[in-house]
Amino acid sequence: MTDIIYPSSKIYIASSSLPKAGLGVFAREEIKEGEIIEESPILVIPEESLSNLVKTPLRDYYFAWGKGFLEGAVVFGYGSLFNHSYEPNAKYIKDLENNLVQFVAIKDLKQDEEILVNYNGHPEDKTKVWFEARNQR
Amino acid sequence: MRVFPDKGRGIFALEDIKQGEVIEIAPVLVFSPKESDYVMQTQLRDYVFQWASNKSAAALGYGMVYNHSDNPNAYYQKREHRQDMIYIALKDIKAGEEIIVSYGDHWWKKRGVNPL
Repeated sequence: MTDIIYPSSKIYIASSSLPKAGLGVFAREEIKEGEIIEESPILVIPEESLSNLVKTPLRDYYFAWGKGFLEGAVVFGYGSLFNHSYEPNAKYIKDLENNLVQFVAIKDLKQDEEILVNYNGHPEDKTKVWFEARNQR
Repeated sequence: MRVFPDKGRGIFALEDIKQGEVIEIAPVLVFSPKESDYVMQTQLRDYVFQWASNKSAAALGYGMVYNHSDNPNAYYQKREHRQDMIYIALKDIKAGEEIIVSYGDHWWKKRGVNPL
């Protein structure tokens, strides 16, 4: 059990550099490849509640969670605000045991660079993410 | 923030915070009245805040992690025009002290509980 989580001092929140993306997370300072950017605690949403959650704007924010990814996780801290890219500069690691999501730099980041993750999980996975698929229908 | 396995989570001051200092500004995600009904049927029911016109809102950042007391050392203001919540110290807070806000009577009554 992780006892203490420190809010990240490496990031700030501002309007995204991407079109129509709302807020985004930016590097407050240079961040080196491999550095932990933030650890975000989560709230588990069991399978039976997920059908209600997806009827709200949280459908675009929650993470698939649990064995078989049938549960959801609402991510506190700034974990919900990272935007998506197929050319990400960070990745997330789900820690199912400690109910945390860890965000880690996969490239050196410059100060004021927007921090982006691939919502497919694997940084190189080019599968269309759900909101792109939805917009094409 | 510290996590206590039995008490849930809480927010703690990393350093001394003076009365009137801004502790955090948390962006919010606003739910329509209908969406609010759905949110209240999930585990988030204990985390969301009432918002204007029968809407509700989830606070990002650490906005949903502050605990409640009737003797708080901080307060929050909902800034509907900015879609955020601002957390401000009501008293001087020492490093290591838990930061506690009052959710207000309405929060408890809506959930069928009389506030302590």
